Amino acid sequence: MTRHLLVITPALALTTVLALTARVAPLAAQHSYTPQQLDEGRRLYDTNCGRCHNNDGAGVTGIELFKQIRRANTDDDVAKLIQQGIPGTSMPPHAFTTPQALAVVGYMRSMVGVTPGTRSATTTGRSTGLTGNPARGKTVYDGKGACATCHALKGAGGKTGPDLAPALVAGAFGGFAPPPPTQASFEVSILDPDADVGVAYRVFQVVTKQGQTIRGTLLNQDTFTIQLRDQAGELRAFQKADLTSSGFLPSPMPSYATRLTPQEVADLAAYLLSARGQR
Amino acid sequence: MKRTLLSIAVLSIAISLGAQTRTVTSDRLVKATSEPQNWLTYSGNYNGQRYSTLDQITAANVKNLDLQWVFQVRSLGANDKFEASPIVVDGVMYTVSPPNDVVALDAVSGRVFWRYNHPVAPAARVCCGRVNRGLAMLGDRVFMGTIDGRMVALNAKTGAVEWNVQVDRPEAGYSITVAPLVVRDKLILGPAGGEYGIRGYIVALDPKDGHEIWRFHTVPEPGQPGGDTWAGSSWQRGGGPIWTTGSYDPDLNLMYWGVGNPGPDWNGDGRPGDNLYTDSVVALDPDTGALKWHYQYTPHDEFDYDSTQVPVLADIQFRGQNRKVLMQANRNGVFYVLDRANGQFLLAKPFTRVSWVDTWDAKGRPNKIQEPTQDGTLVYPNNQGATNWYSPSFSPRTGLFYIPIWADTFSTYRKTPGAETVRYTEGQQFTGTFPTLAMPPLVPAPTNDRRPSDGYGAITAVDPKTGDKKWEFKMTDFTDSGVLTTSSDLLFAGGREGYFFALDAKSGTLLWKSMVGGQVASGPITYMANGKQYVAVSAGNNTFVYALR
Repeated sequence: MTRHLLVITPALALTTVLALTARVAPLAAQHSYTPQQLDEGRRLYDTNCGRCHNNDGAGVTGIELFKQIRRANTDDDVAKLIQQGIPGTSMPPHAFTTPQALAVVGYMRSMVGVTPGTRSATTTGRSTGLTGNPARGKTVYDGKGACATCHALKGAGGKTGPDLAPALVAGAFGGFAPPPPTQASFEVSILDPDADVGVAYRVFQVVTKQGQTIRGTLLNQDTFTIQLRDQAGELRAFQKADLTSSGFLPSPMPSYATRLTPQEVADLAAYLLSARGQR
Repeated sequence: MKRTLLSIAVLSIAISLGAQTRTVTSDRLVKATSEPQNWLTYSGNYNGQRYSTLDQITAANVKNLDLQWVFQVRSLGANDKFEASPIVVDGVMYTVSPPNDVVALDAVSGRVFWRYNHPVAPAARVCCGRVNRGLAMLGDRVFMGTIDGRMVALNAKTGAVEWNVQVDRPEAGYSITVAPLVVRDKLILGPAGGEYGIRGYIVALDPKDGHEIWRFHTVPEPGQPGGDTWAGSSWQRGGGPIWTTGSYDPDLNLMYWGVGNPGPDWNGDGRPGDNLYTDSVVALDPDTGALKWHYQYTPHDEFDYDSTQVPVLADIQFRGQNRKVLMQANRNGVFYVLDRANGQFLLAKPFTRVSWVDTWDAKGRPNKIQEPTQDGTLVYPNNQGATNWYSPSFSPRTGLFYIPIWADTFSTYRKTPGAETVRYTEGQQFTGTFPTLAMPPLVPAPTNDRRPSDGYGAITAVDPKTGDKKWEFKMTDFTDSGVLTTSSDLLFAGGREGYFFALDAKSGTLLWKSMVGGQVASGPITYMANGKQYVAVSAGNNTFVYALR
């Protein structure tokens, strides 16, 4: 096993270890982790793992820690891999005790299904500074705001916009993960929807010199070319020299800065916060 | 006395056998600009300009550049980057790929003369992938630092190990990734490991056997000058790594080295004070290691703004005076001009969006206006920096300074206040909380679907007299590429997208490009063999070599 690892890439090595451990003990009992252990794991991950693996666990090409960890059933084996490193690859050994290494494993498990953010809601955009009333906010949500036309909350509502209360993962926030939503961050999204559109909701548009307009999901781009999946699902590639314009379209959600009063914005944000069960 | 005898011996061998012996002397290194057919040091010569007087390839014919050969390395790990600048000596190219594999190649055909693969100790720890930025040469020896803290001398003709010494302890996070610089028959280098709580230094080794001649600690201890810029025992783990090659002025007999970040990176509560000589440039006497002067770019850094970027030396007209200057485009987003004889501060000007500083006083001390907080502080540029170890270039012909940049990027820096929140354990990273980044810091994402507001990459031309931007060649992705300029006013560089290209150095106009299919994460070089000018660059897992068809 060790000898094989010497000649394969770290991505493959990790996948192999994770896959093997899954096969050996497909339904092995997980360790359970206390909030303190998860916190310790987050701290250790932040300081030791993040520069390479990044805040979304996907910093190393071919490795998605927070997805692959789901398929690895033996925490002890992953912990051992973290401690020993993968010889012959860029994965170094780490001077962790076994409880420390297990805490990192626990933290990575807690990150499954979480999309880390890069912006700090506390430092971008503007907010009302008012205290919101969740009950009044629900009235705004259902009435004047007509939010459910596009958004779902707890499963009910439209699907063109992001679900406003996705499943939460206990202990996932802090450090690398996005900060928990706050009254202020919801207010910023209501007042300036274009400030931070989720990847899945960004629409990219190109206009050719022949006057053709194509919209879709941007898959890749570089200085000279664009690759996208158009709205019909087809893969399309363009030379920028053949285009008159290209770029992301603004968020289809309008700003509510002039549609709602500041107090209504604060109330709506308070309602969304309470609906997520986060304070 | 012994050293003198050795120098005489080396010199007489060189005289008796001529250039065919491929013997590199310190005298040849001082006069490297007089043999532009070779690339004798990391930056080509001592001034750090990465500028060549070869002019066979011009703006008119660069469109005819054709791939001549490719050297494929054995394998790269997912996080490994091919960062080395090759050296070329009389038709032989020497280069090094991760982790520590050296190869001697025929610079015309790319065929291998010999290889040497250093067996890396399992204890090796590197913060940011297994990298090596290049080799040095003196006499008939090629020198390589290793990620397990060793220096190895190889016979340039056979690849045989002549000596192999342990410089420092890998299990404590000391690694050597820098291309050493040979100055006055000494091998100058230092350790990386700023994320592991090392205490950095610049050391001179004897090329004869690797024994230590002198050592300059980049983190002074109590009682030494600068020792009072550290509190308590924080100096013992103060960082100050050395991982990008310095420059040298033979007339002033001064070496210039950029020093890396203080430790822990993102929480300075345990090290109140300026934390000299981290994030500084130090001017050292190469004979003794004595400090002549220093300038600190980012006092008490909590943003990981290593100042290891190549110090570029030039004699320019500055405010009506002919001055010997040192120029540096810093990771902190600011372009600096200093008088290299005495360290006098002449100019500081941001070359991209910068939020951590607003002004500088007459002596060049920055007025810092941001620090990490518990809730997070959004700071421009991001943790990876507005530029980094990617070699800049200065063209004496255009008078412009060229910087590979990450423009308009930001990170949110968080810290839990208190020194006790960052614990030191040997072999573990000693950093604090990693800041947010909108892109992977080390390798490109498989695809680029980022928004323009997440920043962009560029090659930027700056007038060192004013710090003003003259032109900018924008890329949709960032760049870890060095820049090469030539006396035919060409500029070669690349980026994470996998393009290697030539620009007009005067205007930034694109003249030629080649898709190499992997990120350019090295400094391009140029050399001449059999009357033909070549341009070489490492990208992805390969070295690509071009010449006119």
